[in-house]
This record gives sequence, structure tokens and C-alpha cells, in this order.
Amino acid sequence: MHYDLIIIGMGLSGLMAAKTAVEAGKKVLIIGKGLGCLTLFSNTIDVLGIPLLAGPETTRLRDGLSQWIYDHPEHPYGKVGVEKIEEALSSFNSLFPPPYTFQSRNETNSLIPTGVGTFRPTYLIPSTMMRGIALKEKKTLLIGFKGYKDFYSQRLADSFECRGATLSLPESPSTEITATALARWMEQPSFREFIGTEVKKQIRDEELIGVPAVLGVNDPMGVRKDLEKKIGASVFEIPILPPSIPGMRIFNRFKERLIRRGVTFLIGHPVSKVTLNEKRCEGIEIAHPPVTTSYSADHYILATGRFMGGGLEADRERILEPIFNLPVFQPGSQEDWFGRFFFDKHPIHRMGILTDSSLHPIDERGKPILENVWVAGTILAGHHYLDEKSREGIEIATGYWSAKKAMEG
Amino acid sequence: MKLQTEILIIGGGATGAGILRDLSLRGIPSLLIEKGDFLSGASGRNHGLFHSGGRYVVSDPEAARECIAENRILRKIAPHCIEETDGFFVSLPEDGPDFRDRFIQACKDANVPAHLLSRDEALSLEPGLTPTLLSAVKVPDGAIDPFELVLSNAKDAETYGGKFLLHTGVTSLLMEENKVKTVLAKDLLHGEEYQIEASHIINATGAWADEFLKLAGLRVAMALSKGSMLITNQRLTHRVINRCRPPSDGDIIVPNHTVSILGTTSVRLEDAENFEVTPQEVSRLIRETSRMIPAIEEARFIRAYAGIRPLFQSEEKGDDRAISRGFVLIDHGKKDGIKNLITITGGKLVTYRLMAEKTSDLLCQKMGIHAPCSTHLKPLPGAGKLSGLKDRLKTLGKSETLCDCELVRKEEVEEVLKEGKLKNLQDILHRTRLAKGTCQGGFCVYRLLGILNESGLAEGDSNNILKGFLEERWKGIRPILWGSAVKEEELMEGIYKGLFNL
Amino acid sequence: MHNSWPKTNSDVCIRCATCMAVCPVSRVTPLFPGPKHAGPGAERFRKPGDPSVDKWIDLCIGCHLCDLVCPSGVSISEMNLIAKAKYLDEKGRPFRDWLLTHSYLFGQLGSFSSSVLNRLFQNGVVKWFVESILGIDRRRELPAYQSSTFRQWFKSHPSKGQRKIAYFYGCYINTNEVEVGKATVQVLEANGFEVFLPPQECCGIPMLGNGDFNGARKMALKNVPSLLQAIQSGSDIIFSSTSCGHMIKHEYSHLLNIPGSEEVAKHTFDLFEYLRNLLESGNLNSRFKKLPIKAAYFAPCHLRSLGIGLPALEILRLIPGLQIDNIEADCCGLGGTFGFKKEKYEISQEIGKDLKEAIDRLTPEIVLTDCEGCRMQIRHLTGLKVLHPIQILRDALLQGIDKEVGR
Repeated sequence: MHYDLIIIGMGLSGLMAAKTAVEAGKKVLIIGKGLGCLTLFSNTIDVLGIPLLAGPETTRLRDGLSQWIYDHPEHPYGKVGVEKIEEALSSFNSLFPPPYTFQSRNETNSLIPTGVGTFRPTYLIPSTMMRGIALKEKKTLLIGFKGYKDFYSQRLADSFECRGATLSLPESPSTEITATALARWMEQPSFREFIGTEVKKQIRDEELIGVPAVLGVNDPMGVRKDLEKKIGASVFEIPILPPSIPGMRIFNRFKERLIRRGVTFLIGHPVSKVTLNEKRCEGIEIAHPPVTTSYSADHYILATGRFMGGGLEADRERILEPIFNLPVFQPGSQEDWFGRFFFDKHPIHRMGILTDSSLHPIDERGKPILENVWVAGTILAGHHYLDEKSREGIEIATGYWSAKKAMEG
Repeated sequence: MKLQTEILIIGGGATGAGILRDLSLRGIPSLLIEKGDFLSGASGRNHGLFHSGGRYVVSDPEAARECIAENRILRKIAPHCIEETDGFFVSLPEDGPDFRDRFIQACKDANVPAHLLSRDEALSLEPGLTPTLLSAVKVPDGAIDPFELVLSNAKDAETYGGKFLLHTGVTSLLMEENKVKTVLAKDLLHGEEYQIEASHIINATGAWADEFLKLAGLRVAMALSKGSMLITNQRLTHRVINRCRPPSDGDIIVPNHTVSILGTTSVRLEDAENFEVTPQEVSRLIRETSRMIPAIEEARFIRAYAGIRPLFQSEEKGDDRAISRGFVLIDHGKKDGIKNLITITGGKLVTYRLMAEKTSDLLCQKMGIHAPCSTHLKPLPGAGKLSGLKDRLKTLGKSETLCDCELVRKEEVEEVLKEGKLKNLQDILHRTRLAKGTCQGGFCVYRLLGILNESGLAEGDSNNILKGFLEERWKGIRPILWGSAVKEEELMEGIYKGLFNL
Repeated sequence: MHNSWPKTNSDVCIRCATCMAVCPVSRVTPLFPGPKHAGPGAERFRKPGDPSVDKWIDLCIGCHLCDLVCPSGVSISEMNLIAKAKYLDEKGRPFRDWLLTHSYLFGQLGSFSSSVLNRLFQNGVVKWFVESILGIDRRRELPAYQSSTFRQWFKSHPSKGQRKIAYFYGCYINTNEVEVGKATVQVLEANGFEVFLPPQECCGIPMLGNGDFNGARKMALKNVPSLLQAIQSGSDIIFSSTSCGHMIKHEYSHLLNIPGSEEVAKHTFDLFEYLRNLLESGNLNSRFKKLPIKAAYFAPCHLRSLGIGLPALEILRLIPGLQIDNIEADCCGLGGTFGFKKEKYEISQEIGKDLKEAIDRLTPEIVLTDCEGCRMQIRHLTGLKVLHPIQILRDALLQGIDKEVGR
């Protein structure tokens, strides 16, 4: 099969690239070895959460980004530019019309509560989490569920200096409940009825009710609205350990929209081989033993993520990019990859694929390697997404920009 | 606080706990103090080999004889701590048959049962072995759970009146003429100070024996030898696999619960406190052990760690492995004129009971009482406990699983919490299999802290404890970061630095 | 193969829980611990020689979704299937499982028996017997057998065309959904193919899904030589059932190691994948008539595992007037024979609920899906008309020739 564009990687950057290309009328194939990290970590959209010039809560993101790009021209954001980053973010936002939207507060970062009782800065926040920002100011009750082992309301309440309660659930009292099971129950009115009644019993003078982010996959705002009606207080979600229900919402929305627009999805099938001819990629193969299927396209985007997604691989000596075997920027040897302490800034995170300003992969001397291949997402070198709190922003911006550039090329 | 006891045991390793039990069974009032948790030293940081004695038959027949005798006793008194796997001594082409023949003869001499298996017989039992092997000799090696062993000893001792104080370290000794009058100690977690008076003091501090004796102005010639080990994600073999050659690096693979432990190296150390596994040791261990099990080259590792062997120094110099692994019992009354002080050191985990017996015998003799040993007859408590892999598998889906990797149930942890006044995170981890699996506590320690908080047992700031744990975890993980382990770390960093913004 | 040791594949699991996000079974019941635990987690605890104790493994529905989403490429459902086979080998299989996996034999009784069977299955006493003694849930309608088989219809149907193509129709089409077979033949003929039916038996997937490797192997050993012969005569093989197709294309070689199966796989195609290839080369007969229908399409699990995208959806979108949406749901819950079993019926229906809700959101007139199991389940769940997509394509292509579109 031949396509206009083949995207390798099913994370947020690949999905953004697919969205951008299909909206421009291109025939798109997106291939994922598995699901990307969306369903693990993405709850909100981080863009740049480091303490900016005057602290994360007061600097407008646009100003912070400009300064950041000025200071870090080699950062992926430097290749996209502030204007296009904003364009990309609004393209992402267009997938989420009300009621479940992603918004910032006054175009600045906000601090949202986490599952260990800390706050984290983030930029675009889904409607179900927005009210968590007010946790410090308003009286809050945190609700956990017996048998759900990844959220401890009492512990959080101690950190946040508020109250916590753990509800026993009507079904399967002694066994474990997973986040997906809880999310599914939340979509059933009878379960909400039960939760509403139980929370009401616990509530004193609290205005806010914090729950783990399990308010359903399909209609979180409907679930929340109904719960709020039954409880009589505002409800907000707190992000939880993987898998991430809010991440599943994002993925499902992309998938639904993209399939409707005609994007071909191949999930669970790694690219086994690429055919190169001089400076062009001519095709890819997907091995699904014992059969191998070939696909070709005019353009290719590599958006395979870092180590978890399989975009980069580390053996005992060095770091490789397994699909195109692109050179990986990696100063030092294995001993230098990681610092002595877990909470160090590990040098390995800055490693990745070097590109020119249009996201073409380049070699150490800055020469483009493949003319019809673009690179997007966290696999790019020159960022430190964990410390910068920039994961989703990099994915959205470079996913969008790589597709734009591919269509120009 | 002033404390009085007949016997004071310093050190909560297998030896100390064994002595506490032995004396308690003989009805002699005893107190054990330990500066960390039980098994903080070599007892908790070894490869968990349940020695048949095979490893010493050639180099140290005396130690081998002790091992096989104790091996037989422990099978009876501590079946829940032992997995009877058997062990192979594998000969590779470069090892040749000479050493093997000497080995078989030495086994006979030391009374260690040994059966020669052909290459094909060995391969059919252990398909992971290299097809190039010449032969294998089967011996009654096994795997031992040192935690279970020591904790069972302590528990039984308590039943018979023995007492212990954990996280309590000796700060100084008050001497009077030819004896130790008072031992000053301190609770290292809460700061409480103790003045302990005892008629006899037993130094069972293992690698710290010399350091302890310095407090009394004495010395003992000790060698500290670091042995590093690697843990694989899965059990690679059913049996213990030894290399049939003179002892050297990377010559043993011990199956243990869900994992295999590859050992060991031998590096001389000056200091018992600060040591880590070096990249060179990691490479050497993989290179050597993969000669016996080729799949090790590609295997996933989940942790590297090191322990210190306390070795009593003999006259000859040379490889530390040549130093006797037999134990040393010193009556400082005879040797140095301090009449109420005994040092017991050296030895092996598998001979802990014998060491305890001999020490207690010496004490009884010094005290002039007749109280025979019964530890070789009386089984340890806990034999009915869940221990086998399949027992854990069975409970899946039936109750809340706290540790997804090692399938540790919430009830199990709650039981441990009920038992003692444990507040130290590492103490809880010692007493369960939490954090011993693939993710090394990446998920379950977060959960454990939540449970501690909800049961009102949390002490101090949970996030500081969590960070402390992650740093402790990191020490074991950093040396093995490549392949899937790097992916796993990205996940963990994503959780703790990203999602939780710690 | 059953006891490859050491099992390095579960080493690549990084405990990330992506599989837990999609598992349809653990979402509805705590009795199944979920793919992360049941697969690579439990694998660390399984020692060869130890008796099987993982009773819950039988609750894996075999949808392969965990395999597909795993970012590390762990073959979770394969581990589960092998563990399930070991468990059932040791504990023994109920006669019920044999019946369910050998239902093709009923078809071989001949068409005269179909009315007898159908009437029998409706009988209250028989239903009681089926549930209480056999353990097949009485709420589940047993498939109705048709009075004439697809093979019988085909014998009286002279197929003509420029190029020969072999059709693996599968048991269910032969005895229960003859119309799907007819539509397949008619669409292929409208594209210039002469269809022939190579001798064939049940593909064996019901046995494999129940952990009966030997039973499945027996079937595969009969089918492979026959399919090879068809290939050697110069034709490709197409299948209209994605379950049969996945079995033949992938499991014959991967799990069963059948000689010749790799060659068969290379020439075997999903019906719509084949049509999409025709479209790509400009050879698809796409003179479609207008079909003003609001339809919803459901991609069966085995289609997803085939890794060919959603070719039926792509082709159906070419039909003017046809409004078609993809149903965003994971698994229908039937799982082949899974949902027939008394102890699993509730789980099957709970999984199905999510699919039903997804269908309800789209408010379709009809539902289309490539798998007979999914069709059965969706009818049971929604009461809607459920067809194989080829039936709609046939209608668009040959409206008026044979309007008998039915269950």
C-alpha cells in the first residue's frame, strides 16, 4: 500500500502529526509498536513548567517560552518557534470541544495536586482537574476507594492539610479494583448514586471533593456533573499512577477522529525494516510472522518516543535508534548516562536524535541524512522533558510541525 | 535506661540470632542488640546458597564437613526456609576433567553425596546449560531464605524469653579491671540511651568484629572481602549451578524464589561501611556466569548488590578465597585477659547453628552450668508459611495484591505490621517480599506508605521516606542500567519526577 | 515450545500497565488479575514441573488486545494460552468444552438434521440439560443451523471468471450463515474471479482457544496440505472470517509449527484486504449503487491482530449514501466459545455492555462486523440486524440480484 505519509509511533507526537496531515487531505498510515506513553502519564498538557522568570504561576507561557527559546536555541521548541507552538496547541485543543476541554488559567502554568501530596506545574488542564488548583484555598475532602490500591486519600490529606476518607464499595469488598474497573463503574448511574450517598455521609463543610482520576473514559464531565448534583459540592480529579484514564480519553479521541477522517491505524505491529535509497526512505516493512507486509509513502515521520516506547534502545555500550539507525547524540559512555542519585538530572535524558530546523535528522556535522524523513516527539535531542515539565508540549509542537514540514517537502 | 541481662549478644545476623535462640532454649536470659535491622550485614547480603559443602571440599575440607552436617540438620528444623533444589558442579571444556575427579574424591572424603552426570543427563535436567559442557556433578545444594531463617530464630528465641533491641548500636564499653562492666548503647532511630550490664558479652558483629573489639582496646586479624552479586528478573535454572574449578569470580548461579542470583566477586576492602558494585565487576560476573548459562548474556537484571565476607585472617597471604570459611571462636579471657568477652566470627550462613551451639557451649562452660543444646532437634516456627512460588500464584485474583511483581498480598503486609512495632520502611521490606521483583518497589512502596499512613503507623514525612527509598533502590539499579532496565527507569522517573513532581 | 526455558520474553515487560488499560476482562471482573499479572507477572512464578494452580488463567478471553498495546512487545496472550493449556491438560476438560469446540461436527450430520437440531436447542428440557449438565448458559441462544449448507449451494452454482481464487469459508458460514458465503462469492465474481472451494475442515481455533493444542493441530494438519495445493495451482486464498483467517495465517505456524503453514500464510488474505489491494491497483469493481443506510462497523479482535488496519471500513466508505462509523469499543465479549460457558456468561455480557453502549451512541440501523462470533454477540446484545460487511458490499454492487439479506 502507498500513502502520502507514514508515521511511525502512536504517542501524542505521532497522533498530532497524523491529525495535521489528514486535515490537510493527506492519506496517512500511523503505525505503533504498542500504545504510546499517553495512556501511562498524560493527564494534563505540560508545556514548560520550570520556574520561569517570575515563578511558574505568574509568567505568561508565551513570554516564558520566548525567553526559553532565546536561552536554548537547540531545544526542540527552538526549531518550532513560539507562534507555531501556540498553533499546535490550539490544533490539539480543537479535538476537545466543551464540555471536556483543556485550558490554561490566564495563559500561565498552574499548580495541580498530585497523588503524593505535592503540587506540579502544568499548562493545559482538563476540565475535570481544573478545580484542584483551588485545593489550597478551599476546604477539601479527598476520597479514596477500598481495594483501589493506587490512591491513598488519608496520606494526601495529611500533606494537603485537609480531610480524607476511604469508601468501601458495594461490590467485591475483599478483592482489588483496578482504575479501569472504577472508571467503568463511574459511568453507571447506580454506582454514582451509591458514591454520592457515601460521600455525602462523609462531607462536613467542604466545598471541594478530590477523587482519583477515574471519572469514566467516555463522558467524564457527565459523570462529574451527576456526582456533583448528588453530593452537592464541586468534584475534581487527581492524576494517578499508570494506567492513566485521562490519557486514555486523549488517545480514544484522537483515534476516533482520525479513523473517521480515514487515517489507517496499525497498533501492535513494529516496523521490522526500512528500505533506503541514498538519502530517501522508499518503504517500510512490518513483520507479523510468518508474513511481512510492505508499505510505502512519499514522506515519513519518526515519532517513536524514547526508551519506553522503543524509539531508543540502550545496550551495554551505547544508545541506538533501531528503525532508521539514525545517529544518536550521546556524549560519554554507559557510566556517564546516569548520575549517582536517582533525583540527579541524568545526562541520558538529553541524548536523542539531532535535527535541523525543519526536523530532518542530521549527522554530527549537521548534514541532513534522509530527505523525506522527519523526526518528532521526545526522541529528539536537546531537551529534558521531566525537569522542564515539557513532555506533551514537545510532542504536540513537534508532531504538528513535522507534519507541516513534511507536507511542504 | 539501665538494662540487665545474663548474656548480651552484639549483632543481629544469623550468628547472633542463632545464639539468642540457643541460649533462650537453654534457659539463659539473653539480650541481643543490633545497630540496624536483623540481617543488615553479610547474613542478608549473600547469594542465598544452601551449601552442601561442595564449594569447599577441595580447598577447605573441614568447612565442607561442617556444611554438610548442618545442611542435614537444617533440612529438618527449617524446611520453610529451604528450597531443596540440588546443585550442579559444571565442567566446561577449559576446566578439564582433572579438577572434577579431584572434586568427586574430595566430596567422598568429606561425606558430601556427589553423583557424576553426563553432558546429556545434565542438559536434559537443565536445558539452559551450555551445550558445550563436559559433565556435571550433582550435590545436595539448595537455596535458603536468610530472612526467613533469622526471623524464625528471633521469633523462637522471643518465645523462650530472649529479648532483642533493633536499631540500637554500641557507643562505648566501660571496662573494669579484667572485664567489660557496662555496655553503653543508643537507639539510633529515637535517641534513647542504654547502660547495659551483662555477665557475659558476645561479639557477633561479623565484619564489624574488629571495630567492636577496638572499643575494648583489643584487635582481631580480619580480612574484609567484598562479594558482588547480580539478580536476574527470572529464575534461570531449577538447580544451583556451580563451576567445577578452583573458586573464582562468577562461578555460581543460585535460584531463589522468582529470581536467580549470580555470584560472586572477591575484592579486598578496608572499610565495612562504604562499598558499591563496580561496572567491572558487573561485566566480569556476566562474562563468567554466561559461560555456564549462555542466556545470561541477554538476561534482564533487576539489581546488583554486594556483601562483605568477614574472614578470619590466617598466616598465608593470597586470594581471600584461600582463607578458611570455617568459623573462629575466641575466648578473650584466655587470649587477652578480658574474661567476660567472646568473639564469634567467620563461618557460613549454613553453619550459623553450629556456631551458635559452640558459642553457647563455651559460655555454659565458663558459667559452670550444664544446659545441653537443643537447636539441632527443635524445629523453627513458621513451617506452615506461604513460601512456594505456586502458593503465591494461587492467591492471585483472590485478594488485594500490593506488590504486583512478587505477588505480595496486602493481608500479608498487614500481618507483619501487626506483629511488631515496625516503623522503619526497610524493616518492613526485609520481612516481606515487597520490592524484590522486577520493578524493585517502584509501585508497591508508594502503596505501602499509603497503608502505613492509613493505619497510623507512618513516622515522619512520607515523601522523604519515599525519596530515601528511591535513592536506596537506585544504588542497586544504577550498575545494571541497559536494555529493558533503562525502559523501566524511564517509567519510574516518569512517575516520581513527572507525575508526582517529587 | 510449551516449555521453552528460560523464558526471556517476559523479561522485557517493564510493568508499565498499558495492558491493564485495555484488558476487557479485568475491567469487568476482579476474578481475572489482568494481563500484567496473569502474563509476564505470573510467568516468573511458573516453574516447569510445578502443578498448575492458576485457575483464573481460563478467564483470559484471548482477544490479543494486551499484545497489541504492549510497548515492549510481550506476547501476553500467548503466555496465557500456554498456561491455560497446561492447566486444562492437568485438570481435564469438561465434555462441554469438547462439544463447543467440535460444533462443526453437527454441520457434518447433514442438512436434514438442521431442523431437528434447531428444534432441539429451543426445547426447554434440552436447555435445562444443556445448562445444568453441560454448563452451557441457557440465556445464550445456540446458533441456528440452516436447511442447506453453503457447500451445497455452491455445488449448484457455476462460478466463472478470468482468475481462480480459493475461498476458506469456515464452519459457521457453511452451516449457519450461508448468506455471507454467497455474498463473498458474488462480490469476487463481480471482480472477475472464479471462486473454488478447496477441501477444508474447521480451522481449529475453537480448540486452540480452549487450550487444546493437539485438537487444533489435527485440524491444521488437514487444512494445510489442501490449501497448499490450491496455492500451487496458482491461486490465492481468501477468508471472510477473521478468526479462521488469523488462525490460518499466524497461529498455524507460530503456535502450532505446521509444516507448509508459512507458505500458506503468504498467500492467504482477508477478503477486504484483498479487495483493498484490488482498489490500490485500480482493479476493484466499484460501480456501487447508492445505499442510504446508517451503519456502524465493529473491528473484531482477530482482525486487529491481523495488522491490516480496517480494510472493510475503507472499502465500505466508497459506497455512496452509506453512512458508516467505526464503533469505538474493545471486544464483544463472546470470545469464541468463552461466552457460551455458564461460569463465564456474566463476564461475557458485562464486556458486551461496553460495546452495546458504544453502539447505542452511534444509533445505527445495522451493524457490520467480519467475525461470526461478534455478529452473534451483537445480535444477542442489541437485537439489531448484524451483517458481514461483504453482504452490504454485495448489495451495493448487485442490488436486486439477491435481496435475501438476513441473519
